[in-house]
Parts: sequence; structure tokens; C-alpha cells
Amino acid sequence: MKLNLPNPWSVAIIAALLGSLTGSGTALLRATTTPLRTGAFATRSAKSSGPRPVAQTSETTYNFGRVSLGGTGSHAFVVRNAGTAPLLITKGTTSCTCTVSDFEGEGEGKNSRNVSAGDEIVVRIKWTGKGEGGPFRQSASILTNDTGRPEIAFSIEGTVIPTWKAEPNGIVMSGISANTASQAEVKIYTFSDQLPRLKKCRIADDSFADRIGIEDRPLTQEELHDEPEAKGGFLLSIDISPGLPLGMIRTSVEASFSLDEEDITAVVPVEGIVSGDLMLVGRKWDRTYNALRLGTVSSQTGLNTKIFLTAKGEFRDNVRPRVVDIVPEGLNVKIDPPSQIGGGDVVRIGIEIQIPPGAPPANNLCTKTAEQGYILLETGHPSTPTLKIPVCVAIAE
Amino acid sequence: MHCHLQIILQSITCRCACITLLAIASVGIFSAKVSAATPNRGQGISDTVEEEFRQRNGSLFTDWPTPQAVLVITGELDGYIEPCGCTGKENQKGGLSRRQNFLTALKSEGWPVVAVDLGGLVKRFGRQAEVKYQSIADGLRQMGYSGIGFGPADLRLPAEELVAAVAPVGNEPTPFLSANVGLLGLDANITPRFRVVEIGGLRIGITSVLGNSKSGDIRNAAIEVTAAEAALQEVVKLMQPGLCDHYVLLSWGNPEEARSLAKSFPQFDIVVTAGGADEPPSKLPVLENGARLVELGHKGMFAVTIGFFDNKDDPLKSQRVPLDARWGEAEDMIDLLATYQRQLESLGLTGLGLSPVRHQTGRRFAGSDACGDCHTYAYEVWENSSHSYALTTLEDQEPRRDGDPECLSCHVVGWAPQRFEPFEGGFLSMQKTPHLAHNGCENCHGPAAAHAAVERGDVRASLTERDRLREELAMSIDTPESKQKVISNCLECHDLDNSPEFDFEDYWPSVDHTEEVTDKNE
Repeated sequence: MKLNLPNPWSVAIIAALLGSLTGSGTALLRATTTPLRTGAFATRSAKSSGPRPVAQTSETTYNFGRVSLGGTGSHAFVVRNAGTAPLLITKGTTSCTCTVSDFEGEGEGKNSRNVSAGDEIVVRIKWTGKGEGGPFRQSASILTNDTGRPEIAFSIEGTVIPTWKAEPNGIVMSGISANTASQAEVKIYTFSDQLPRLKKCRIADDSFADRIGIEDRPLTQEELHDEPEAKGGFLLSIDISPGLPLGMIRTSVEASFSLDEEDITAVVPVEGIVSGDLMLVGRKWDRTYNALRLGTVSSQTGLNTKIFLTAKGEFRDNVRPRVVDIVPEGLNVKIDPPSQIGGGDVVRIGIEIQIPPGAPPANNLCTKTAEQGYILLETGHPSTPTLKIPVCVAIAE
Repeated sequence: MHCHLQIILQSITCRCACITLLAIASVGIFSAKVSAATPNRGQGISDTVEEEFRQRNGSLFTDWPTPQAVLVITGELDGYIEPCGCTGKENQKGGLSRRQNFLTALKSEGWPVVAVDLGGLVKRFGRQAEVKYQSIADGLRQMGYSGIGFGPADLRLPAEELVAAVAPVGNEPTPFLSANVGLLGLDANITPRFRVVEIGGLRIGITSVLGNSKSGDIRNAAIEVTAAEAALQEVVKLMQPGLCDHYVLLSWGNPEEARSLAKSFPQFDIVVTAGGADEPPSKLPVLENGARLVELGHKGMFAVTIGFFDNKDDPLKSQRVPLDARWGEAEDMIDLLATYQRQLESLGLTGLGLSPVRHQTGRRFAGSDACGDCHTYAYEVWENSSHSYALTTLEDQEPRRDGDPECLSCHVVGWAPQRFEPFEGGFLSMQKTPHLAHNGCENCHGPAAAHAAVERGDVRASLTERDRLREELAMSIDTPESKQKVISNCLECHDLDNSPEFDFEDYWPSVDHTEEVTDKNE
């Protein structure tokens, strides 16, 4: 590609105009001699304006390491005035659990200080260990009249060691089979030099007591190594027998123990959903209403969608669905071969649903005047030999 | 611009003069980029608000020229669809609404944006978490996210809910992806294992993994989770080393795990980790192999933004962006939140699977008016405190929050504040249990129906029994032990999220109702 240009000077004038329109003349001149960074401009212009303060810090981050829950800590950050004019510092903002102490030494006010050229001042940041333990990072800032460094953010970090900790801190068993046993483990770590004395372990909800059993034992040295700083603890093995009622489980394991002469009850939630062996899954599967909602589909464009039938429990490998009946007749249904998910505890079967272009009109939108459609399957599962999948769909011309 | 300049250079005859002048022109252009406004607030936010939050939480994008592209990284939302906490929202950080406005502000400045999320959209389990997950997933799609990973709590939700939330909608590909997590199995291909995004002339490869330390917590047989390293070996090959300018790994594990993966897979120059401190560091740590390690903090309070620049000396800048009130509210997300609240309301407590649980005392609640029949001074103090209209504050919000169990639990009588579920005989609704509205006496003292019935004479009881019931409800701040028990009660609701400034000594005077007890003793 070749452009027809009038002459070099025209290009030059256009170029100059373009340059002046898109950037200020001052910026243009500076940019010809310095890297294209505004920070560089700020420093240069500040340097050339006579006596000025310069805030210097040897560190802006301090790591407290591991500290106990509820404990407090503080660290002194030193700010030095390396400039030639007085440095004014003022308390800025802090995050939730840390504070900047009043400035030390003589001077006016607690929240701001003038630091003479060559002098330094201590900015002490205090912090209290709140929350549940774990890593923390908090920050506090001071504002200065050093134009090159108007704000200095100090950061303190570390890890709060709790009194005790459950790992995991809750057991969730999603979609467990009503007909299959399940197991889970919880480790309770303690961080005191004294070993915990376990008194009692129980399931909070008595109605689950005959189906959910708990066994306990002290953690081994090897297991304790998994949690830095842990000094003791115990392992809870939870066994869930078959026969739980279908639906939601919401209970907890309560482990009562004494530690440092204090009585502690560790409450670990146990939650889950107990479901039947066969389950339907898919974007258009409405679990609240147990229906496949396809909506209104144009017979000109048609529709392709897919849902999945999952099978678990001891008969999962027997499930080989076969289509027995379909309403409305415009629906085509294709069943994929079964495949195992992960370790094979669940079998997945894809069900492709197609409304081909030109399908006959129908109204099965599941309203008072439009009966629901359905796909009737023979499953091969001994306790659920047939499965009727409600379908809400209208096929419009 | 560079193409045009080259074409011009090849076309003119007097090259030297033009090169000089073109250099002047281009300097002007680049200077304009340098001095261009950087995104610092949401649309419609005043200078005063911007200045206030700049002073509180820091300036943004100082020294940033216009980047080639920016990568916005969020994650660990932990279910905080709104800014963390209920009180003083303007003082809290986070929420989808501000996130949306932040992304819009970047785009409005002409910055090409690619947004990714580590995952961890929810933290809890149950029907409310399912509805919330779906709402957040919809919100992230609306914001145009290019990659979203899975956190362990996400993967504890029922597979059918997860699939419904993350599967592609129509012809739109899903933004959810994972190298080693397969909903209904990796071979079901419900979500891709990685994605390559082209933005601002750059190619950015994105994938995510669930760390091995977390995969053991997933007791969901319909979800396949494979070892992180093995999965990344496969995915890295598929992503074709050298194809992309940047490779992003979203690693849900602890920071040590992320460091280890970064070492094993040096292709990734941006490695995002979960499990850090509440707030991310202000500067990104650089790992041994040069990769940046990104922490995000918790509860979606920050968006870490990485800018890529066509500058050999300074090719990358980062900014920890606090999602504070300077970003304002986005209508799309407010609508989403309203829909979420309506869903909760229509499901009701039963639909949300919240059946009342037995209180540890086995007793039932009477309501604050019943207490006021005798404890007139205490009732008067309560009536004049904000506890007495706690539910009204939820009803008055837009959208109203009185159908949200996570809010209700501290605004009515007879709920477990930290478990977000009602006790037997606790508040159910304004229609069924209006006497249990607001945060009343029994939330600290315990269920008092039996005590009130005996005192009224509705139930006959021995003096011993009467005194025992009185004793059960009595509280004191006279000894360190009893005071600590009282403070622990307060902290059930006045926690770090909802009442970060809470200090018992400061707050107690406004609800101190001990005079009546003194009178009685006299």
C-alpha cells in the first residue's frame, strides 16, 4: 500500500499539529528528554523547586510471624526527613484492626508532626489479633508534604494462631445416596502446650444419632505435622449408615474437650443432601419444579439441548435408559451410552433432546390450559423401573 | 498508529525531516497518553466522594499511561454479593455492583479489559447458597468475565445446581473453566479446561485448578477432580507454549501450593492464589521464575488489576483496587440483587430448607413485649435503642432484605445469628410471629416463654422452679467471666463484618439497662 502525500513539509505540519493537539507543549518538551513516565516528571520538577522535604523509610512492611489470637503487637516504622525543608506528617487511614499510635516526642497535636531536615520520627502501628485465626495483613498510612511521596502506606502481616482449629471446618456431603454408607473425617488441632482432654463427642441432632456414628482418637505426630504450630488434637471419624431420609441434613458434631483448664466445645457443621439413586441435571432442568423447561420454540429454527441422568448406589451400572413414550411428538430424544464419573461412584448418561426444524406445532407449556409434555424412560434400575421426565414446551409455527 | 507511521515513512521522499517531525508528533500523542485521565471513580460520583475514599483507601493508577490491556482479577467473594456487612455500607468494601462500575470505568477510559475470577463465589451450603451462586454467576456473565474458576465451597453445591448455573447459555460460551474439575466428569465438557482471549493486541491464556489440598474436601461424587499437576501438564500442552503473550493460572489452594505450581509450570507469568490474608499486598510478589503471585484478600473487597504496557523497561504495572464507595452503584447489579431477594422471599423459609432447630435450652420465646410487662426500665432502654427497630431497617432497604435469612438472623428474636436459621418458636414472619420482630431481650438472655408464663400466672410452678427460671435468664457483667459471656453474645451479631468498630465498653452505655436489677435488689 502506498499513500499519495503532497510533500514532506505538509506531513511535517500535520504531524506537528497532531502532536500539539494531543499533548500539551510542556509535556512534549519534557518527553523529548525523559522517559515517558509521569513519575519521572514529578520528581524532576520537585527537585528543581528549592528546599523541600524528602520522606525516607527503610521498610514499609513488617512481618509479625505467628501470634496468638487476641494478642496485640506493635511495630515502629521510622520515617526520616532526608530533605532540606521541614517534613509534615499526618495520620492517614488504617484498615480494620490496626491503629497508628500518637506520634512520639514533642510537638503540636497528636495526629501530625513537623520533622526537621535530617531528623526522624517513629510511626508506631498497633494491631490486635481478632477473627478466627489464619493469615492477616493490615495497613496504615501517613500523609506527608513531600510531593514525591505524598502518602506512605505501611503494612503489617503475619499469622494468627487460634486456640483450636477444625480441618475441615465443616463437612458437606452433596448428593449422597440414601442406600449407601458414607464416611468423613475431621481433625481438631489444638495449639496450646497442654494436650487437650476429650470429654464427649456427639451428634447435635438426636434424630440422626442412630445413623451417624463418631469415633475418636488422638492425632499422631505425623498428622500434627500437617498443621504448623499444632501441639495436640484428635481425629473424629464419622460414619453415616444407609437409610437416612431423603432431603437435607443439617446437624453438627460437637466435641467437648478441656484445654488449659478451659472447657471448649468444637462445633463442626455436618450438612448434605440425601437423594435418590437417579437424578436429572442440566441447564434447562428446573429442580424446584422438577420439570424440563424448554419454553416456546420456533418450529422453523428448532432446538437442541442436553440434560444428564446420573445414577448412583449399588444398581448404578444396571441403568440403561430406553425411551418408551414422548409427548409432544415433535421431540426427538437420543440417549448416550453410560460413562463413569471420576472414581465410578456415579454413572452419567447424556440425554439429547432435539426439536427438529419443521416439527409439528404443540402446546405443552405446563399451564392450566396446556398439559405438560413428558419423556417416559425405562431405566433398568430395580427400584425405579420407569422415569417420567416432565417437559414444558410449546412448538410454534 | 505504528502501522500508519511505517506506511508514511516508506512513502515519502524526504525521510530525515519527516522522521524528526513525526517523532515530535508521536511524542505529542504519547504525552497525551501519559497525561490522560486514569479511572478513579464510577459514573456520577462527585469529586468530594472520590476524594474522601482516595484519602481513606489510597490513590489509584498513579503514573499509569494507557495500557495495551488490563487484566482484572477478582475472587473469594465468599457469598458477599453486597459489600461485606449490613451497617454503614458506605464504609465497607466489595459487592458486585461496585465491581461492575469499576470495570465500566476502565472501559470508559478506553482501556481494553479482560476480567477473571478465582472462584469461591459462595462459602456456605444450602438452598440460599445455591440461589446466590446462580445470581453471582449471572452477574459475572453480565460483566463479561472471560474466566471463572471453582472454589471448594462452590463445588459442594449439588451438581445439578452447578451445571444449571455454569453451563453455556444459547450460543454464548461459559466463562467457567477448570483444568482439573469436571462437572459430571471432565469428559462431559460442560466447562472448558482453558481459554485464550485476544485483547488489545495481546493473547492471554487462562486456566484454573483446584489445589490438591482442597480436593479432599469435595464429597460430591458427580464432580470429578483430578490431581492439579497432572491436569496442568495436559492443559499446558493444549495451550501451546508461545501462543500467548501471557498465561494466567487461577489456583485455588494455599499460597505455598500456588508457589509450587508456579515453579513446576513456569509458563504462567500470573499465578493467582487463594488463602492469603484479608487484604492483598499492595505490591505483587515476584516469584523466583519471574511470575507474579496474586493474592486477592477475602469477601471480594478488592480487584487486583494488572496493566500490560508496550514498554520494555516497564511492561507491567499492578494496582490493588479497593471496591469502595467511590465506584458507586450499578443499576444492572442492583436489579440482579433485587431478583435474588425476590427469589428468597418467594422460596420462604421452607423453600430454603430452613426448618427451625431446637434451642440448646429446649425453651421457647415470648417476645420483648412480654418482658416489658415487668421489666419496665429495661424495656424502655431497649425501645430507645436501635435494637428495637432492627427489622424495620431491613424492610426499609431497597431492595428490602427481610426475606434474607443471612440478614434476618440478627434482626429478629429467636434465630442462631451465625448459622442463619430459626430456633423452634423463633421468628418466622411478620404475619405469623410479629411479637418476635426486631432484636429483642431474649437474643441475649435466652428464651423466656416459660419464665413469662410462670410470672403471669398462666402456669403454676413452685417457688424453686420460678427462681430457677429467673436465674436461667439473669446475666451480669460484674465478674470477668460473666462479662466475657455477655460480650460473646454481642459478638454473635456485632462481628468483624457487620460491626468492625464494636467495642463493648463504647457500646454498652447506650443499652445499659442494669438499673432495674438494682431496684429489685433494693
